[in-house]
Amino acid sequence: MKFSGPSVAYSILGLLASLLIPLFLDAYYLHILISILFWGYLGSCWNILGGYAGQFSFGHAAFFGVGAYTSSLLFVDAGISPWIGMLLGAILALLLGLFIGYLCFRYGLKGPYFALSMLACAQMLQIIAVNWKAVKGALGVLIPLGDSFLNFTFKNRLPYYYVILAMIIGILILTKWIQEKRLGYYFFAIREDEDAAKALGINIQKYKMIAMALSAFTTAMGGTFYAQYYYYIDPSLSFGGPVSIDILLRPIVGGPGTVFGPLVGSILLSPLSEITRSLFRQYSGLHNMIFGSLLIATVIFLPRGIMGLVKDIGHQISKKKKVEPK
Amino acid sequence: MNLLEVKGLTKRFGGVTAVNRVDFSIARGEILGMIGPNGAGKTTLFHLISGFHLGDEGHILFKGEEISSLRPDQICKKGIARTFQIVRPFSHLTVLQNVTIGALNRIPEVNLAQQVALETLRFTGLDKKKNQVGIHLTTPERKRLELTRALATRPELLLLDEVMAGLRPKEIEEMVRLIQDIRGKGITVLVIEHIMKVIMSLSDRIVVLNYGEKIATGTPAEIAKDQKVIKAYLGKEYAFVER
Repeated sequence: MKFSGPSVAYSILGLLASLLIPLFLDAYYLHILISILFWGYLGSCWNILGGYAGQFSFGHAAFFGVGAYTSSLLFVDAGISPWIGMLLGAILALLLGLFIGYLCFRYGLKGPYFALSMLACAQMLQIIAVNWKAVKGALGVLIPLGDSFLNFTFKNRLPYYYVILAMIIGILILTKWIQEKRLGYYFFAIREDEDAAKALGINIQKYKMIAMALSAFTTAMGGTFYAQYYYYIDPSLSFGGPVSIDILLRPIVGGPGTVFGPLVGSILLSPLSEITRSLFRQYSGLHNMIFGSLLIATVIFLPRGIMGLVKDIGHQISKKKKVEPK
Repeated sequence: MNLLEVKGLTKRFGGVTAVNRVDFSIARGEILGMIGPNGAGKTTLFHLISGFHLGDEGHILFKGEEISSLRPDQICKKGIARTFQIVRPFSHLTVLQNVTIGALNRIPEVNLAQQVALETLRFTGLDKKKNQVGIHLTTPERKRLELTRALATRPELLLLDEVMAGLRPKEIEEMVRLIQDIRGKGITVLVIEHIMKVIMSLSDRIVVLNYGEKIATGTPAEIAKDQKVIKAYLGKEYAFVER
C-alpha cells in the first residue's frame, strides 16, 4: 500500500478524534455514532461483492442472520463466548456464501437474477428460523444482560463503540488493500464486462467466489455485533428484507466500489434514520418512506453515489486549475 | 510444428451449421487473414478458438496441445489473446487500468503490471490517453485499446476481429503498420477483416470461409485468382489484382 505524508497525518488525526470524541458524548449521540459505524461496516462488507465485483446482492441479511444466530445460540445454549461464536458464525456464513455462489455463478446468474436468488435465500432462512424450535422460532433469542468483555456484553455503550470502530477500520483497510491488488482489478473487470474479463485470462467464477466469501464472512461478524449490542434477535430482525435493504443502501448512496463510499453513505443515512425514527414515532413506517425516496433520488441523480459526485467536482477543479495559467 | 492447428472443427446452432469441418493451420510468425461474406462463420470460429463456444466436433491444437475444451481464461493463459468485433472496454476504468488488467495475466504484481501496461500503451501509441476513462474514447481509440489490452496479456497468438471496421483510411494505415510491428515482435496474428485492400496487403496467407466451410486457402495472389472465391465473395474487380 502507498502512504503519502499528508494522508498519514489525516488518518492519525481522524483516529485520535474517533478515539477521544465519544468520551464526551451522551448515550444518545453515542448510539447514533455507533449506528453510523455499524451500518458503514455492513455496507463495506456488501461493497466488496456488490460494489467491487458488481454482484448485486439483495439478500445480505442471510449472512448477517447466520452470524447473529450462530453466536447468540452458542452463547445462550452452550455458554460459548460470542467472540468465538463470531468467528464460527463468520465461517458458517462463508460456507453458505460459497454454496449459494457456486450455484448462482456456475449457472451464470447475473444482475437481477443473482439479486433475487440472494433475496430468496434470505427469505428461506427467515422461514426456517421462524419454524424451527431449536433456534427458538419466532420468539427470537434474548442475550442475558451482563458486563463482561469475555461475554461481549457491556453495561455502557462506549466499549461497543470501540469494538465497531475497530471492525470498520479493519474492513476499510481490507477494502483498500483489495483495491490496490490484482484482486481489486479483477473484481472491477468482472463488474465492467464479464466476457472481456474472461478473454484477458480471468477465471471469473473463482474471483466471484472470493468476493462472495470475503463479503459473507465479514457481514456475519456484523450480525454478532448487532445481537450483542441490542441483546435481542428474532427471525425478521436477522433475515428480514429490510435488513438486506439497509445493508445495501449506504454503499449505493455513498458510492459503490469506493473505499469510503459505504461510510459516507452511512454518515448521511444512519443519523437520518435514527432522527426520523424518533421524530415520526407515531407514524410507523414513515422513516422507511423517506429512506426509499432518498434511494430513488440517488439512483436517478447520483448513479455513482456521493463519492462519484465528489470525484467529478475534484476533476472540474483540477481542470480549471490547468486552464487558469493561460 | 504449426503454432495453431484446426482440424475438422464443426459448430452447430440448432439446425444451422455455423462452422462446418474447417481445417487450417497457422505457422509461427505468420499473419493469416480470414475473409468471407457476412455470416460465413468467421467470428464463430474465433469464439471456438478462444473458448467462448464449445465445438461439436473437431480439434484445436495450440503448440500441439488440445485446447478445444478449455475455458477462455485458460486459453488466454496458454498464450492466445483476442479482441472483440464489438469492442468491450471496461467503460468506467481508465485506459491504463484497462491495459493493466490485461498485463496482470502474466504479472501478478500490480506495480510491475502497470509498467508493462505503460510500455504496451507506448507501443500502440495510446499512452497519451492513459488517464482517460473508457467511455470517453472515440471509436478508433477504443479499437486500439482493445488491441493494446489483448497485447498486454503477452500472447503468442493474437486474434483480431475486425479491428479496422469503422476506421478512416489514415487510421487504417496506422493500424496496418501496428499489426506489422506486432508481428515484428514475434507474435503470430490471425485477422478477420472485410476491407480487401488491407487483407490482401497485410496477410501472408488467407483462408476464405463461405457458409461455414473453408472454400480456399493460399497466398493473396492465389486467392485473388480463385474462381470459387471470386464467385462467393470478391466480385470481378478483384479478380486479377496482383500484390
